[in-house]
Amino acid sequence: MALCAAAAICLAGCSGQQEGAADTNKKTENADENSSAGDSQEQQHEPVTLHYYHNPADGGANESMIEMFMEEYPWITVERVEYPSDTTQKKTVLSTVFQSQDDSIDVMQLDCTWPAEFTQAGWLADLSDVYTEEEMADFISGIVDTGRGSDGNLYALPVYINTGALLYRKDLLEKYGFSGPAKTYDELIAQSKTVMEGEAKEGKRIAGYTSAWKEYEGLTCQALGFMWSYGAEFEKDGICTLNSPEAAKGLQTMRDMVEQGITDPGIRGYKWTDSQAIFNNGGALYMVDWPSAYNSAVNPENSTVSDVVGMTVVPGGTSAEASYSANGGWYLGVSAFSSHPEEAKLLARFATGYEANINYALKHSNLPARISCYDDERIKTEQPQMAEMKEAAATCKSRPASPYYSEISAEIFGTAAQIIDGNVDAQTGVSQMTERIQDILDR
Amino acid sequence: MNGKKRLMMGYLFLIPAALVFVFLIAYPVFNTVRTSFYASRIQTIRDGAKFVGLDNYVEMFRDTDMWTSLAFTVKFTVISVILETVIGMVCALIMNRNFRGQGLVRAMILVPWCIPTVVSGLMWSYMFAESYGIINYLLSAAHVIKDPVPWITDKGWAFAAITIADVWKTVPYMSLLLLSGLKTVSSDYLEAAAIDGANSVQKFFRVVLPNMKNIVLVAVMFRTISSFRIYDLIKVLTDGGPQNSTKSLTMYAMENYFTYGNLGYGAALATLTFLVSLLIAGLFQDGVKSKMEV
Repeated sequence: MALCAAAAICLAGCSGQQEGAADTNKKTENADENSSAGDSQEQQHEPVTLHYYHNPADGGANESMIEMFMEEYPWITVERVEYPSDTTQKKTVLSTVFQSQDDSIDVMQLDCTWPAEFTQAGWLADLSDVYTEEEMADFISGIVDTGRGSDGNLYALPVYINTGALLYRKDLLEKYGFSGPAKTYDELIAQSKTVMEGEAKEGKRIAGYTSAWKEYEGLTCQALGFMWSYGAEFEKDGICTLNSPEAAKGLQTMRDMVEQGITDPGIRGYKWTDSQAIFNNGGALYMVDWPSAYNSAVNPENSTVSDVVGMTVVPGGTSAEASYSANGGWYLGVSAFSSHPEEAKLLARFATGYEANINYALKHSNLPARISCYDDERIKTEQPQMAEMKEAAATCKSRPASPYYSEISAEIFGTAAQIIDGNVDAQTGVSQMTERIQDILDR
Repeated sequence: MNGKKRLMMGYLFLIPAALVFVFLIAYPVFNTVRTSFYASRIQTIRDGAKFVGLDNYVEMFRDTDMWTSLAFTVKFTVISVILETVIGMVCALIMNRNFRGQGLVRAMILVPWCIPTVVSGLMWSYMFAESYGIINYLLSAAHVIKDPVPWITDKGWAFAAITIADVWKTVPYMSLLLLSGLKTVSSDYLEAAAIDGANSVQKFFRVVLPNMKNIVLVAVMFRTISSFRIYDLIKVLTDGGPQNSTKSLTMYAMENYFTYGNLGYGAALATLTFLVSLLIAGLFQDGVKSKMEV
C-alpha cells in the first residue's frame, strides 16, 4: 500500500518537470487526481536500487536510456547487467535466477518468444496498470498481444520491433540493368542468376543470397517467413495448419534456392554474424537479416560495400504484397520476485516510452514499437531508411505464442533443414512436422 | 604435538575443501538426481512437481534423439581420446629430448591449451567457414580441392571438424601429463636395455611404456571423462548440427533443461551423463590400482 502511494506520488511529482515530453507521461494526469494529497511529500523518497538486465552490443543505447531515467528519478539507482550474447544463454541466466525465486533481477529485456513461457511459470509481474488503454494505442497493434498472458493481462511491453529486412547491392543491380530490388522470390532468383553469371565471366564469385540458415532460431524465423509469404498460416483455434501446399511451397522455395546455387554455399552453417561477414565483404547480392544489420553494412570500418548498400522489405511469395517476416522484437518485463515492483514499473514505463524508442532507433537502428516515432524529425534525418521499414513493421507477424515455443521452433527449423538439405520432400516434411507440433500444442 | 592433535589438525584443514565439495558438488548432484524423479516443467512450475519415479528414465531409453546424441558422444570420445593420446605421446617424446630451443618448443606446444575453449572454437569456426574460411582457401589455392569442403554443413565433415579442433586444443594437456610420466622412467633401465641391444622402438614399448602405465591411464581417464561431457566447443562450432548429428549428451541435456524448460527430463539426462562419467572413472580406478600393486 505504501509502495503504491509512493509510485503515485512520484508520477505526480514528475508531471511538473515533464511538460516538454508529454508523450512519456500522459498517465500523470490520472495520477494527479488520485494523489493530490501526496504532492507536498514529493521529495521524500527512500533511495532504491534496481537491477536491469539487457542485451549487450547495443551501441550504448541502454546506457544512455538509463542515464536519462536516473536523471528523471534521482532516488532510483539502476545497476545495468548485460546478458551474454547468445540468446539461449540469456534465457539460461533468467531461468536459473527465477527458478530460485531470487530478487536479484528487477527489470529485464525479454525476447518475444519468452513471455508465454515465463508468464505460465509465474515469473513476470502484471504490467496492465503501467499504461492506460489510450496510451497503449500508440504501440504497433500486431505486437502487443505477444506480451499477454493466458489470462489476458499484460506481462511484457514492447521495447522495439525487429522484422526481416532485405539488404541489397545497389551497384550490382544497376550494373545489370535492374530498376530496383526484387519484390518477389521468383524475381530475386532471376536477378541473382543474371548477376552471378555476369560476375563469373569477370572471374568474380558472388552469391545471390545469404542469410542465417543454420539449424537454430534464425532458421525458424526464415522458414516461417517463407511459409507465410506463400499463404500458409501457423494455426487456427489451437489446430496447427501448416500441413498445406502453401507451407510446402514456401520451404520448397528455400530448397530450390540452394539447389540452383543462388545461396552462398555455406549458408546452412551461418548464423547472423557469419552471413553479415559474407555480405559486408561484397560476397552476396542480397542478404536477409534484421534492420540492425544495416548499421554495420554501411559502416566503412567493417564493410567494403558501405556506400552501395540499400535496405527494403523482404520479397513476397505469391505476390509482392505477400511479404511477411517474423517479429524478432524485444520486450520489457518486471520480475514477479522484485522487491521494488513500483519503481521497477516506472523503469518499464520509461524504457518503453517515446524518448526511449527514439534512443534505441538512433543508437542501434532498432525499429520503434511506437507508430508515432516514425514521424519524428530526428528519425527522418538520421535514420532515413526507417521510413521504408515502417511498412515492413506493419506486415511483421509474431511467431507462434506458446509456453512450449522452443520445442515448436526446434520442430520448424529441424524440418526446414531436412527439406533444404534434400533429405525429405517438402510435402512429407510439413505433414510430419504438423503432426509433431500438434502433439506439443495439445499438452 | 601428539598424534591425536595432529590428526585433529588434519581434519580441520580439510574443512574448507569439504565444505566446497558439499555445497558446490554434492548438493547440486543430489538435487539433480532428485529432480530426475519428478515431472517438472518451467511452464507448469506453479502447480509444483509431481513424483513420477523412473518415468523420465523410461522415456529416455525410448527417445531416439537421446540415442543419437549418446552414439555421437561415445564415438567422439573414443576417436578423440585415441588421437590425443598418440599425438600427445609424440609431442611428449619430442619435449623430453635435449636440444637447442627446447624451452621454446615446450612453450609453443602449450599455447592451444591456454586459449579458452570458446575462443578457440570461434577461431576454428571462422577458419572452417565454407566460403570465406582460410582452410578452404588454402586447400583450393594448393589445388587439393575444387569445391569448398562443407566443414560445418555435412555430417561427416562436421564430425571431422570438431575432432580436429578438440585434438588441437587438448593435445598439450595430454603431452604435459605424459611428459611428467616420461620423466619418472629411470635412465638406468634405458641404459640396461641399450646394453642388451634393444633398439629405440623396443625401448619405448618394453621399458618406457610399462613404467609409465599409471600416468598414461590417469591421463586417458581425465580426457575420457571430459571428452564425454563436451559442450562449449560444439556449441560454438556446429551448435549440434547438421540435423543433430553432432549434438553431445550434455548439449541435449542443456537443451531440454533450459531451452525447453523440461526440468525433470533434463535432469534425468544429466544424471545419465554423470553415471557414465562415474563408470568411466571406476573402470580406470581399478586399472590404476592393480597396476600399482604389481
